[in-house]
Amino acid sequence: MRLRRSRLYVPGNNPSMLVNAGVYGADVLTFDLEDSVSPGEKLAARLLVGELLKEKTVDFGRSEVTVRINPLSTPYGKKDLLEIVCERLEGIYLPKTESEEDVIKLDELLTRLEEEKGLEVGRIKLFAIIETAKGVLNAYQIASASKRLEAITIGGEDLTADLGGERTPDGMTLFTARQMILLAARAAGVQALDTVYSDIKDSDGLYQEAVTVRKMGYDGKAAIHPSQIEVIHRAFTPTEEEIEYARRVIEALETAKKEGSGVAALGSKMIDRPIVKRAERILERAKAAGLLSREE
Amino acid sequence: MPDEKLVKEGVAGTDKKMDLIVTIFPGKGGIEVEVEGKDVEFFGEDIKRVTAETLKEMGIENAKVKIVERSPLDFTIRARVRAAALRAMGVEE
Amino acid sequence: MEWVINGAERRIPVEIDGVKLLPYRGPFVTPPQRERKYGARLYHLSRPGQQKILRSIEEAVKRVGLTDGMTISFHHHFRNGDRVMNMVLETLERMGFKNLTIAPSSLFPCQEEVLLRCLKNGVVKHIEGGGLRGKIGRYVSEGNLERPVRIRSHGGRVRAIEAGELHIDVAFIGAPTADEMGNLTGVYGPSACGPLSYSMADALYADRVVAITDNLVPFPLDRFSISMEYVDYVVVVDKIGNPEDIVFGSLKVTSSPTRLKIAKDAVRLAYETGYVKEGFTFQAGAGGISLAFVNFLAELMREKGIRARWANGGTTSYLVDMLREDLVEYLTTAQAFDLTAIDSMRVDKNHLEVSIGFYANPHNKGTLVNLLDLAVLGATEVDENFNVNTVTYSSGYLAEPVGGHSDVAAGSKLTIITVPLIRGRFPSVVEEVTTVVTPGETVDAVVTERGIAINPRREDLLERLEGSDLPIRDIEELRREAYSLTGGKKEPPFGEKIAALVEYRDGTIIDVVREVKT
Repeated sequence: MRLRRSRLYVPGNNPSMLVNAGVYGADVLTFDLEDSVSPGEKLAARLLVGELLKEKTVDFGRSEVTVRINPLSTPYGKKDLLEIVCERLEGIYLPKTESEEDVIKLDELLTRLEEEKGLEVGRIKLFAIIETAKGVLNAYQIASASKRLEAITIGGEDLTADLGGERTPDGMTLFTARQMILLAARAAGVQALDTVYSDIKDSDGLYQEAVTVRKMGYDGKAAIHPSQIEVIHRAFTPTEEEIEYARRVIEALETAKKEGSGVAALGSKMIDRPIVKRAERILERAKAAGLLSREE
Repeated sequence: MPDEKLVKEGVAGTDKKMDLIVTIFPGKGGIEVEVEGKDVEFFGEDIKRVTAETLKEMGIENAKVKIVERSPLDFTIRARVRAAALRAMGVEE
Repeated sequence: MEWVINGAERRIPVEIDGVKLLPYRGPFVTPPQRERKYGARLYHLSRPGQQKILRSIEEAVKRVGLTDGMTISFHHHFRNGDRVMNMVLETLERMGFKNLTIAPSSLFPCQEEVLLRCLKNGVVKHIEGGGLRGKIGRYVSEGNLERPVRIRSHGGRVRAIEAGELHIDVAFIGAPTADEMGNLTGVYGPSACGPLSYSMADALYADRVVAITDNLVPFPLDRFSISMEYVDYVVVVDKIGNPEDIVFGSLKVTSSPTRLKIAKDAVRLAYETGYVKEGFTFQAGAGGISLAFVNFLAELMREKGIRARWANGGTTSYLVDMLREDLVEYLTTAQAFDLTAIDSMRVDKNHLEVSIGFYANPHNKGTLVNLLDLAVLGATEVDENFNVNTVTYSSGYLAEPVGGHSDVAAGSKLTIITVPLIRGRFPSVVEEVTTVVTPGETVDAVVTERGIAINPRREDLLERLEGSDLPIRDIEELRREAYSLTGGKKEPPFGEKIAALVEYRDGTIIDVVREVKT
């Protein structure tokens, strides 16, 4: 599955931000038609992002191209899909996902639109943003509801509001929700992505939070300003020790294969599937951070 | 294609850099486009052309268009013209 | 008119108004054309009891014997806070002078109204020098002057003065502090502006020198930049300039994410190619990107424990902070860009004032730009040959100065041009620049938000960058992307008449600027 360490939100009604979105090297770009666009501008933003996606001269670099549409329960959601489904669209972020029905509905709409527009069916990925208590409790069903779905993510601001709480520096308010979404994601075999850190000026705070969620097991974090991308990538960059360890795991695996032995071991420890997966993830992140040599 | 009906004034866009403000009024004698802005001597013709193409694709044959430009790229022009036209047709957000 | 192709592949006239023109041949090819320096007139016999202090500019003008058609000069250390040129021109206007040539080291919007009026009513007939922007730039571009302007770099202006090609009859020097004998400094005084670098050559070579001050002190002024040996008179007025308005234009660190990225990538480029190391020297231009560059450079230097030997201004508070933090051992300043820089010149021991000749004149025995390891400069346009334009945009109007651009680019070991790939619907990387100011052979890299291009002449840089994460691309690729995004470069509506000649620092002509058809 694709590396999604960083995900930059780009307001959908801002031409100069849209044009430059691809230069910052974010793993994912999410052009936003929802919260950053006022109700009076939904039409304008939708068409702007729609035309942007059709404009081949604007390069998005290595970033995955996604759009956060409005919920399908609003008058806007379906219209958003009609406009933006096209060749260059790689994923849809669905806000306020509460149940597997929400996911299935979107999946079916996407299939129909892909067919109508002559696109490869199933190509557009789906990502669920969980930002209500109900959504958190349904996280596993949501995460398992569609073949298109590759990650679930937490919408920190709205979830905190739904809980009736306030965010605290120690992260306790969202701690359980974060854990539950992570558990659901792993059980369903999809990625777990963390929410934004709103204080743009506080790089240290962002770094700490990103490291914390990485250690929990999260695959990435969202950003609301380009300056946050570098910080997030740093937090998701493995240390020398981790890279060394991962190399040895893979080596041991290959040695075992060569020798025809069924079981690989590192020292006295047996190397099973989760360990291999973790090693592969470390090397993948190391590669993205430019820390591996060409041959690796 | 039947002539799409513009029923009122429709506006779209902002005055930010690389954007444009498009105002479309119902018209009688074909497509009339006026452009003003700092770089209008350079891009006025391009903006008029993209505007006319976009309206044609939408099946609009008569309209008066006033544009205030801030150096937009083509996709922005197309998006704002479409949005203004749809609003002029009374389409909801 | 007969034309010839010069070393930058531009067509330039063989001669103009009866004066033969030397075509540009290369950055270090053309030596001085004269055998001796030009000298100021010798007529003085100083004696005890002489009085230099005058009560008005009018009196000074009479005493120095200014006549119609003469050339007068000014410095621009007050940038957009200058009052001296306006005061002098208004006086000359009142006194009925005509057909004067002004030779300011640069020009700013605060001077536009008075200068335009004087141009239109015939007080001023000609302008010598760069710094043509705004309304004055348009006036010149519209072909309103009889003769083409010679646009020079800072170093080139001093060269021209010493060679006698720019003869100054009367230099008016705005001096923040002066003693009664005409020793001058810019570092002290209520209107302190920092150095008086732009006036040093004027003081030495002009026939007459009038200092204008708002802070007269008794002799001796203990620390002076210009000696009384060269000053005819000292005029005392109420106020010579507004130091707060020195901070004109883009002198704030950029907050644009794309420009921040450009600045960051420029630092990485300089580091990965080995030019940021213990004892290195650097200069960054004015502008939001350059200031961000200085900040990121400081961060890197702190992280790696690297100290620079010296850095050259336009000096800002950011450079002063680096000096005080001991990230840089010395600062050299030929222009202060803010009040902190001026203050630092007073109090910091390792902060040196240098003349423009010391900084950039190519026809002397040693110049600061040749000692630079790293330079970061801006541009209006860059082309596929790495030629840089700093004076015009595709509108064709003269809009920005040359400054020290071509001087610094020639001297510095690594010259990086930072520029956004597109500015609105205008591409900044083009097939051919509208005007060549700095030749491509002195430019090593172009950093945009969408990639970095290395001049193919610098194979050594390309080697050092192998395996780097930096987005290295061909300049042609960058240009193609700029064109496909914007629809291409619009050709400026140029007419036939030549409005300005772009003189390279060595006196050769590197390009011409034609008038804009209105």
